[in-house]
Amino acid sequence: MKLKVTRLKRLVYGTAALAIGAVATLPALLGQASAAPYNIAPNRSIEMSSSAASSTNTQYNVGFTTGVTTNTIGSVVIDFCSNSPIIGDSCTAPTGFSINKASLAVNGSSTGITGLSVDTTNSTDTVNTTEHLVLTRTAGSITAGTAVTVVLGNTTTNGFTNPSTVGTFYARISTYTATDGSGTNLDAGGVPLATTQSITVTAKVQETLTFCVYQTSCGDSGAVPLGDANGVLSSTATNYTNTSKFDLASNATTGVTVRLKGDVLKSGSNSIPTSGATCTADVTTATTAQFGIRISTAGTGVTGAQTNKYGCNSGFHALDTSTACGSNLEGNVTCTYGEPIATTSGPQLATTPTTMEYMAKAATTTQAGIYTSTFNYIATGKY
Amino acid sequence: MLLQPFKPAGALPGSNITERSVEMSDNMPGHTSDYALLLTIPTVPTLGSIKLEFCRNSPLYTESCDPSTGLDLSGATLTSQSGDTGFSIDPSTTANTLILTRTPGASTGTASRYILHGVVNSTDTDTQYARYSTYASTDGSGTLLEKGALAYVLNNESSVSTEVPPYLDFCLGTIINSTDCSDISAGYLSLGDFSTTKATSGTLQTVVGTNAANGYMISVDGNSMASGANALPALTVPTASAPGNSQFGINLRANSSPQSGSDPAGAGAGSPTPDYNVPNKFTFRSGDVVASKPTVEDYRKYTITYLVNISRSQPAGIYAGTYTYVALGNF
Repeated sequence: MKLKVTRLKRLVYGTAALAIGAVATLPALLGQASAAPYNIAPNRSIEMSSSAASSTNTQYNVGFTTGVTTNTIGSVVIDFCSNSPIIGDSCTAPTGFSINKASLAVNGSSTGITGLSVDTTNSTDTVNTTEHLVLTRTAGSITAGTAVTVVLGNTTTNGFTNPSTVGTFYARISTYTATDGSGTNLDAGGVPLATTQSITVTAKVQETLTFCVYQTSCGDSGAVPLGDANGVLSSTATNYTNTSKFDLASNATTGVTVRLKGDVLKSGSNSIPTSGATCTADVTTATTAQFGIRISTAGTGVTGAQTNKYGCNSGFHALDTSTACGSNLEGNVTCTYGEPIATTSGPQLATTPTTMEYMAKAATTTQAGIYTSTFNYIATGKY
Repeated sequence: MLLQPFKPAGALPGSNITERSVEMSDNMPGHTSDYALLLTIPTVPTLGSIKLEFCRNSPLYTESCDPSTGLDLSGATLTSQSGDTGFSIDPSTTANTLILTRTPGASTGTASRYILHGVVNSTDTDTQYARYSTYASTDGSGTLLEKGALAYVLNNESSVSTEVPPYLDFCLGTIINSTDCSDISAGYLSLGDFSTTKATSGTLQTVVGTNAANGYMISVDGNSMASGANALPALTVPTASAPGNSQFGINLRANSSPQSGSDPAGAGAGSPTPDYNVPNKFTFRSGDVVASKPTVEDYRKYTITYLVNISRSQPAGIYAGTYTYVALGNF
């Protein structure tokens, strides 16, 4: 009775030994195990840039150590099999796997066994049939026990296509004196690889926008009296100021724009005119009346051209009531959509308050009366 | 094990309505406003309708939508559109859900803008949400193609107020160096010794400014200069200086005979009244308004020239007079 014998080949020296009669079945190699009985020293491995089934342009970082004999090495062969890592056993190509020999390239330079490149002529890339990769070089002596690394593929434009099935498959690594992967192998060993299921993690993050306008604390009336302790512009030589604030936070991708709609202070047909469309120095002459605003403190992340427009220095204010209203919702504070006064460039999840300062001064000729202006701050997030 | 990055809610993997926002012309609760709907729809072969649904509770499409309180889109009109065009407001639009409809066609993949006029804002003041979605159908039904939500906030106005009080600035002095009342030399005017051969004159100055809507008047009260029972005769009509004749009068102009006084000065525009507004002619009637303006007045400086001439028969003595000037603002 003849028994089919499966025995690990003994490497090195080009000899093969066959044992007849005894049956020895060695357990399959798992993981990045040490080499036995192949004559490759430990540390053989293949690291994959992705273990996802069917992953394309996958980079494989192949490593191994040459055997105990210094040899002339002209090629390294890697065969990919789904059934067994044992060199000499039949090899079934992993389903869907491809070495993509036409485009596959060594990334950088191989070390240990230097000068390796893909031999497209002698490699075989027949999906679901044979995946036989030959790396060739000018044959040269390699010292025994040399650590070898060769990185194949670059993850973007070339690499391996992983098997389409989830599970373990194998790479059989062999070295040869011939440059085309033919002849008797010198060192050899198998390495298992594995593809896995992808785990998808999802979470819901909803759009957010927090905006509060106030004088002292969020929720107050927001009314801003200007003047002396009684809210009166009692002196025509004094610039009276007061402030309001707004808090702004949002995860809007492109940030938030704060617009301002308003006008000068008015009492019936009488008004206190704007300081100017741009930052203008406050005056103290009794013959000049002024009304303006400025951003006295910009909150966290509040920046941009419009912020700069109203970011006047202390003693300067502006209120644009004259720039033409544009089709892109620009213009001045009296336009339909007002005028942008502050922006954030991206998500801003926590801010310090932005402080708006108002300034008013009457002239001797400013007619008596109660003057008011209503300001509407509008925050719009762009997601 | 392979982890895929999470994707924000409201987005179908690989497709999303981007650059999405809603600009409001008025964001006060309950107010009527224009809404500018801004969005970029990825290129799709068939776009028939755009839905915008306003919810007070959540932007997540997997959650129910609680309508925003008081919001009313039903009376809005579509006044302009750009990007993906050809839309009109579908009759199925409700108070909180807008349906824009058109003949189905490919989207352009460019930024689009739709202006709605006459939207009544919600009365809710906490953060609210709007959910965009697109459909091949013309009425917002069927399979959702693309989607994207946003958050917005309505808030009350900020009212800035102040009071401008009635102003009347008025001062009198022998010399006022400024054009306001900030630099005054007070005291009394001494005219020195009178002469029968030449006129005697002297000046006082007054400054007035007011925001009285109907202007002001400056009047003078007093009697002609006298020494006991001996008074200088006041000029009751504008009269030229005549040395050797007893005269007392004033005017508010620059004079050459005698050389005295100045014309009104300053940013204001008031003027002396007619009888006191003639160079080289002088008048005095107690109670007369000597200067006025019918509207608000910026600072105005008047120089009051006093004229005295005496005849040979004028009794000797120390002659004096007290004159009170009153400025009255007519608010």
